Amino acid sequence: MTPKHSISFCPVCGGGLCGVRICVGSSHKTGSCEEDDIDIEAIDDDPMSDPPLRRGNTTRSTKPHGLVVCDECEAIWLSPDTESKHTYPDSENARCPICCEALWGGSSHWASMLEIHELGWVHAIDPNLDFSTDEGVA
Amino acid sequence: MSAANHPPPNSPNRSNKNAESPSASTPNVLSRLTGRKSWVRGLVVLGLVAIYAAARPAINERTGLNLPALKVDSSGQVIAGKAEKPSVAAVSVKDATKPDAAKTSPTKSSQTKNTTGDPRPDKFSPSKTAPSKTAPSKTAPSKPSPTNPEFSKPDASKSTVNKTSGPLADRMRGESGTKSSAPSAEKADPSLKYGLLRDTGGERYVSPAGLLYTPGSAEGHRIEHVRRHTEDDPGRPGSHGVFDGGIEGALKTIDDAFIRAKQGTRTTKEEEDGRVVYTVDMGKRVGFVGGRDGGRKNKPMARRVTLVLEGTRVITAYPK
Repeated sequence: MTPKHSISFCPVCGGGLCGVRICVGSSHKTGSCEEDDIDIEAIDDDPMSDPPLRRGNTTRSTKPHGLVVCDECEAIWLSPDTESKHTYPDSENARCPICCEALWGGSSHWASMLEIHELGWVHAIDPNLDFSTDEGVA
Repeated sequence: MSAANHPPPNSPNRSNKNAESPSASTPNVLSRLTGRKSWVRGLVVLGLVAIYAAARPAINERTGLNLPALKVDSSGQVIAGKAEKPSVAAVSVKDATKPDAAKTSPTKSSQTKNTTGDPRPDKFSPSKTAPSKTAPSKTAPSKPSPTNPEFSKPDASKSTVNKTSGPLADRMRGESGTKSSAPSAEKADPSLKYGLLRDTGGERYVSPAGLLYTPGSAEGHRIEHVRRHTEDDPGRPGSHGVFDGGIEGALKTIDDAFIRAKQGTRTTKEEEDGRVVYTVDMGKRVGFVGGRDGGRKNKPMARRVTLVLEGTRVITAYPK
């Protein structure tokens, strides 16, 4: 389960890759994804955040959105900057802090370069950490 | 030069005439020369022993090997002392009275050192042959498997392999001292997963040291996540730590690392939001560094373990 494209090694655990993960949007709410889990400040401070993410506590993202996730310790960043604040999912029931879908479920996957381009996060990618080259924008 | 000093022209060993001269003074010279040679050889041997003794701790510290200490027995022989394991047989490596043996011994010793220092798993790590097929919890755990002794050997006192081989050989098989320290009763218990973990229901397992393995992670269960670190992932960017001994060895090493972490032995600790990251120096080889970086460096050995815990719940653990 190695990320296809990563922005850095994990500053938290030191051994993981901070890969870009993309979550397909969902308006589905579950009780396990609490409002407090979402770092709204980090989202609001991120100029590249999608509009749905800026709406605060009441609306979940309904379109694909990106996360940076360490593939070892599961630290999560909402922007492609591992120096920003991170959070951790529930260790037994990890969910996307934006849409509340299962973090490792079918609605989420490691992003391809094309998807990263659509997120506008290409600048943050470290090509030396690419696990595989895939089709899409270089 | 008088003719009396020269042997006949057809005399054999003419060039050695002085050494074999039957003159009265020659035996004294010969004995002196021989004595001096023996004395010099003895000095050389002693020097080599002194160098080895002085360098051994540093080598052990830097490489994680467990080179035996040298001792002199009652007959004057220099022998390799027992290392950490009591079952290791002492091996005579040098004899101060036999210079030839003294010359060859260091060579053998260094060859052994190099061999054991080679961290490549394709030669020595049992992780490839390992996993669950020999899990003692599923088969007859009390019967050592001749093909894969490290997973059934639990108790060092019962292991014939340990009795007949040295500590370096043990390392070559990927056996660490931590394995033999496990209580044999636990490994004999067929109810234990991988001979170590107690099932508490709901796919939750507790290790002897109290670590909790639960569902979670991209692999579906933390044990499966740890299993990632029992085989190399050569294409992975950066490094990828690989435990010796397959999943059983990994779980045991993680438990030992946790014990050391709790004791604060050679451990760094970073805590944040309920997560704790321990980096524990195990003082010996626990695996090797794979991945792209490890591959470039010929897969150097790993002697540290990183533990990421949430309370006692294992999030991830890997050697580095």
